[in-house]
Amino acid sequence: MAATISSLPAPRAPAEPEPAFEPIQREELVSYYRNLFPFNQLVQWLSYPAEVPPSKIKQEATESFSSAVISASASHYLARREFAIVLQPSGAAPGTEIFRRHLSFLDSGALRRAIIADHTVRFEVGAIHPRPPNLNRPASGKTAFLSASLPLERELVFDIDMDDYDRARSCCSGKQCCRRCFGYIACAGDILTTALREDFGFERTLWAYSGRRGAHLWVADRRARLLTPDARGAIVSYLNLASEGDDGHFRILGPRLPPTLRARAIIRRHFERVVLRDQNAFNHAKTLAFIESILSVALSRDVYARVRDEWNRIGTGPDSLERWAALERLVPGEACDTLMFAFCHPRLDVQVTRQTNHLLKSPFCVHPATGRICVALSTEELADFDPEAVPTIRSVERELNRSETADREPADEADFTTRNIHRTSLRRSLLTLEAFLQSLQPAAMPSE
Amino acid sequence: MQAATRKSAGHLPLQLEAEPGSPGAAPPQTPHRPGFGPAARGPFSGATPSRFVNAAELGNTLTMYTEMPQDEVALDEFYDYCMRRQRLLQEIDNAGVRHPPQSSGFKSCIRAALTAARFNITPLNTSSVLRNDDTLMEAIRADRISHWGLRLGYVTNDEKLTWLLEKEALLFNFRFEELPDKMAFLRDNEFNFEVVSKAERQLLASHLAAYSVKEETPVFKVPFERVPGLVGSRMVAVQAGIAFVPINMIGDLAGFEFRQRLRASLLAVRLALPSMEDDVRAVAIVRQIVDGATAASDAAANWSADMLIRANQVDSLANHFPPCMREMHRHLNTVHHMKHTGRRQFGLFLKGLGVPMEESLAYWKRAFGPKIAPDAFDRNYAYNIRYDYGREGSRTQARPFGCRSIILGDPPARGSGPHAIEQHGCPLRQSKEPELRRLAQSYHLRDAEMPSLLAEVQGSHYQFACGRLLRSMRQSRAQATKAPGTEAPPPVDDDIRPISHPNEFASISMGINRSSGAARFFASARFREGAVGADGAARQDDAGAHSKRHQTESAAPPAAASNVSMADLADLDL
Repeated sequence: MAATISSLPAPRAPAEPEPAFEPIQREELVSYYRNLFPFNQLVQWLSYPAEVPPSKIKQEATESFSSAVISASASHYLARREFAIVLQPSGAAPGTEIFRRHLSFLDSGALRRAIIADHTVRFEVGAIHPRPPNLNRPASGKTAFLSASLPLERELVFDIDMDDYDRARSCCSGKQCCRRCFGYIACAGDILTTALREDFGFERTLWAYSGRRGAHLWVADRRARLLTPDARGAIVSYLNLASEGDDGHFRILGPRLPPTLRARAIIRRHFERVVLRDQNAFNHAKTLAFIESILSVALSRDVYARVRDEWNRIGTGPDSLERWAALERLVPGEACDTLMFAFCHPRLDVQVTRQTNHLLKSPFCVHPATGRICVALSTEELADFDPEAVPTIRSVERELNRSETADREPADEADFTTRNIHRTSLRRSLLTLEAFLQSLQPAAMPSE
Repeated sequence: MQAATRKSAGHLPLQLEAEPGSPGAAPPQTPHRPGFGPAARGPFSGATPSRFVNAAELGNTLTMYTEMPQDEVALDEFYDYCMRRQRLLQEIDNAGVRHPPQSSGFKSCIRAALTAARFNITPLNTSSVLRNDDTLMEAIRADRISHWGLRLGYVTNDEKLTWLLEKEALLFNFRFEELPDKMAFLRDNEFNFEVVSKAERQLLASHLAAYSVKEETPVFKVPFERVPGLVGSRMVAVQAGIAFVPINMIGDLAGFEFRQRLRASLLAVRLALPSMEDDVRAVAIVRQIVDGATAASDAAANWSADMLIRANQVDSLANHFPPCMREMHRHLNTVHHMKHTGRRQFGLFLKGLGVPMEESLAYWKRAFGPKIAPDAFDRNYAYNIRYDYGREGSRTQARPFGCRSIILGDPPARGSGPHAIEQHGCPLRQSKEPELRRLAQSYHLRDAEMPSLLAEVQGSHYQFACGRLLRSMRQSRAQATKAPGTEAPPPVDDDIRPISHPNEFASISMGINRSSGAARFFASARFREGAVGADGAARQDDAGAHSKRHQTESAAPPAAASNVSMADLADLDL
């Protein structure tokens, strides 16, 4: 069908193969986690120290009937948090990984020591359990105790992956991801955080770049952390704005409902820049095929033929603004809405959000295949985030080496990594994390 | 009301003090001792001891079962109550397979099952309770005792617990919808939810209108966590964490509360169960009922635990596989690769078939051979197979997926390129008509039956459709061995049983050629109990597959048969 539209440029030459990424050496990892990784701030977040006054803990513990919960909730929030470490055994081929689950640590120092000692590539953060997960590791040959692995609390998390946008991308596909792709994540992030704030009352959110082609959203409000899997599933399905049938029939769910109308307004704000300018979606064979598959269902044959004639008349341009304007002029609003949602609706991974015992990579880890740091981001920062300009394990190491005053010896453990980070381009990301920590302070928390 | 006052000989009150096996050794010391379940020691957390003194205290006919009945009950009466409830729940389960939930067909099935089980207490409200209607009082008593009784049998594992929870919630929802005065029920059960005031309504007017809430309908303010179903399907407005639930949707809320409270209570029963030795008879009776009903499907999964199937035998067994497994087997043999969910579904099926871990590893390695080098296989795939056999990770014994989880699971993703194709799930659900015809042909389905199959698939009755394929395959095989001229009886649709587990399908199919361990067990257990039904002998070959039959036929007085069959069931239910 695309062939009937004249003067279509040849599809972009496949992106030149990325320069082969030199596998990360164990020494580089040790140096990064020793000198730069912000363990103190991360652990401060994950243990919510200032959140619940001791008296409230006691009261809550009395209300819940299990004695296991009482002893556990009264102390050591962090110790009950599951961590998983992914490490590269010495001498093994690059890419070989060992995954260790059910770990827990008493404080940031213990976490840091374990990460450095094990030559960790990356580590993941799990849920809060009734008792420290490392005590629950089953002895070999034994089955795990029944109720031991039921998580009590877990941040509400979302995972958006660019793979799921493949048909809407003219620039990249699969594992690739550039600044222009990321516009979709910015739009999805906008829709998500607005709905979470206005409809569910969740305000304490932090984004983290996943290191290659996606982003994670962490929602840290106490009420969000206590949600059951069913309630999490309900939120995901509430936030899921569109469905695609097997026959390619694309439907907006609840098109007249307030959350959908609000999302539509947000998509409108992003659509011009992301889809029309950055992707130039109406001028590329791949995205035109996607548009065709949607419009051919949504429009009658005559109308669609008229649209194509008009597009042919307009011809290709530096952006898709004119072809979009023609479409808006010629066809009913619903078809345009369907198209906007098809391109921009948030693609969410249900299982990651629903399952409370799912693990998610910690912010500030290193992605083993790209060397990029999984930087923390605020929702505002998503809009002009460029994944290809993210600090990498090598770039920050260089910056640190260039700085003459770098603290190489952990004379004062509490501060030296923070001082080091401020000497590198990770500084901005650390400030984002610290602002997020600030939002978790009791002063910023209205009584729930 | 109390068993202690009953005259019939042999009807013994269930006593905490009574030694099992020496009935009457300890006569009732206080008439007010709990009937069953040592409530005095508080195993049913949250339960306040109470007794039925008179009808007025009973209050509403519908209950959240927060209070354990404290009157005494005769053993045979207790057995009868629990058996009736077990059958009722089973019927609700079957109704759910035949009809979509909340459909009128579903409701009339439940109504019929309630009447059959004599638990039909719903349409009557408090006023008729006050009339002291004896039949009704008896039904209420049986309803409450049997509910608490069945709990004992269902808390033993997560799967059973979830099953009980789901069926009880469906029953509750049905009864709730029939209630004449829902508000009174909500009030009595402490649903303290605020109603939206006039002033708030004005602020919310456009919001509520978008969800087509009429102006005069009362709307409740509920934390959104309490109505996940309504929130997830965008049936209600949500703002700042509050869901606005109009009264016509309040059933969802009541149902959710019921589930929550029941789940908490069941988990508490589970924790207390090991300490309930005194009630060994009550527990034993319920176990017998519950295990009798569930053993069949468990047995289907483990039917060949005494058999050993080797890696090179799998291919020759493929014609006994249900459609899902046949498709995956075909896929594996042509593409020589399978994605994770498929490996799990098919791998666990093989485990249930009796393929031990080493053989399974060998089988997969060979199947992947043309694509994946042996050392790459060991590195990337062997772990998950060992995991399925409980040798890695949490070291729990994974069980083969049942039809329900296969059907309700995420459908396979269809990417481009053979490697990107997932092949798990239920092909009856996922296939279009031409594929279904091809599938039906491979099971020798008569053309005359094709419209029924398509109708079943259309109506989402995949488990029935699967049962139809099984029947057709068996008939065609029977035909092949029969002398020419003897015609098979024309197919009657009543004959079809829904398939609940892929291993059940396979074991029935293989059972034609050799009698399975489970089938042997059920046959002998039935004879020992001396309660063979009229059709028992004729259908022995597939007795292991049909839970209901065993259940009906084992409805003999427990005292005589329980020891014998309990021991066997314990062996079987590994």
